[in-house]
Amino acid sequence: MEPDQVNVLSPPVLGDFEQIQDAEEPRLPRQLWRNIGESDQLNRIYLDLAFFHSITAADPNVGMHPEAHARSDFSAAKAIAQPLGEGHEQSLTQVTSLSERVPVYMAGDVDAPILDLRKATSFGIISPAASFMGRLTRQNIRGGETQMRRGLLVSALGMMVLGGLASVHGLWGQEKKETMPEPTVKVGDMAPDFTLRGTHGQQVSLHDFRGKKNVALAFYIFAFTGG
Amino acid sequence: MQNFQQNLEKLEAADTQVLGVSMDSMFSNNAWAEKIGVSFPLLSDWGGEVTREYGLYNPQYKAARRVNYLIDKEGKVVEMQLDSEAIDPTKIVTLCERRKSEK
Repeated sequence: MEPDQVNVLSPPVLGDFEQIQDAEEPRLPRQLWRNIGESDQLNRIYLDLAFFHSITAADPNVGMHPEAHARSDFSAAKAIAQPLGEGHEQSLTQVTSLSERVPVYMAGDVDAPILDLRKATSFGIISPAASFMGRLTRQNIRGGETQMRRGLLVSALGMMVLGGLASVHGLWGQEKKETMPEPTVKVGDMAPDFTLRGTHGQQVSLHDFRGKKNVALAFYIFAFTGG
Repeated sequence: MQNFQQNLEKLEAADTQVLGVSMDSMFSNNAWAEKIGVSFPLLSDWGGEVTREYGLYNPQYKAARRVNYLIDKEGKVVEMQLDSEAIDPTKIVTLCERRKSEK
């Protein structure tokens, strides 16, 4: 055995995982495991699969066995990188990549603290881990050590993506909803007088126009921008 | 501001003075006015006192909210447009022309 063939990481596989795969799960969870199995026959690398699957709905107590009836109404997971959180169900069908997801988040409703444990476990952190480890087990059995290491790599990548998402998401989750100041001067009020300097330093006051002209007073955000 | 410039003749014909206000410095306002050909005054509310007095200071941008006011000759606010609707001054032009013709 060559040194690079030594499997330094002893597989972090829990004994129950094979049982998860073999147990007859009804409906969607079972279907997704089957999907994983099918590509197995092509190349045994599995990169053609979605990283996250909406298979398991682990409870906060982190049961290992998928809950067969929970959340089974999801459509199949589409792609990598689904941020966890409020409205992530929609993200399954509408958004396929992280780069597309970002603007949705910036513009969207990110008021509440989003990373709520139950949702995270039911969709994100726990279940992909189970999924990857489950795959790992299978590779260990069918393939040689090469496949084993690949499996580990894929698994590790998946974890990194997850971790990154969780932290990025945490940041977004804390962002406050955009708040606009409420104008204190409203229709019917007397406009407060002011004196400001114009583009050449000349002083311009509102009272200059009193009794002479209407004033269209346009507050704009920044010079050199639209509007 | 370009939109106000395009309507400037109509507004002036209707006895209306256009004033732009932002929290930019007068120097950047000057440069911008030259660049886009604005001939009405762009006023610099450096420090934001007036912006705050009107309740338009947005702490998130550290700048004003986009708002148009129409102030009549007695100094009373007769129209206010917020945000995106403030980009198009057509309504203000119409109001000014109507006020003019009613006299």
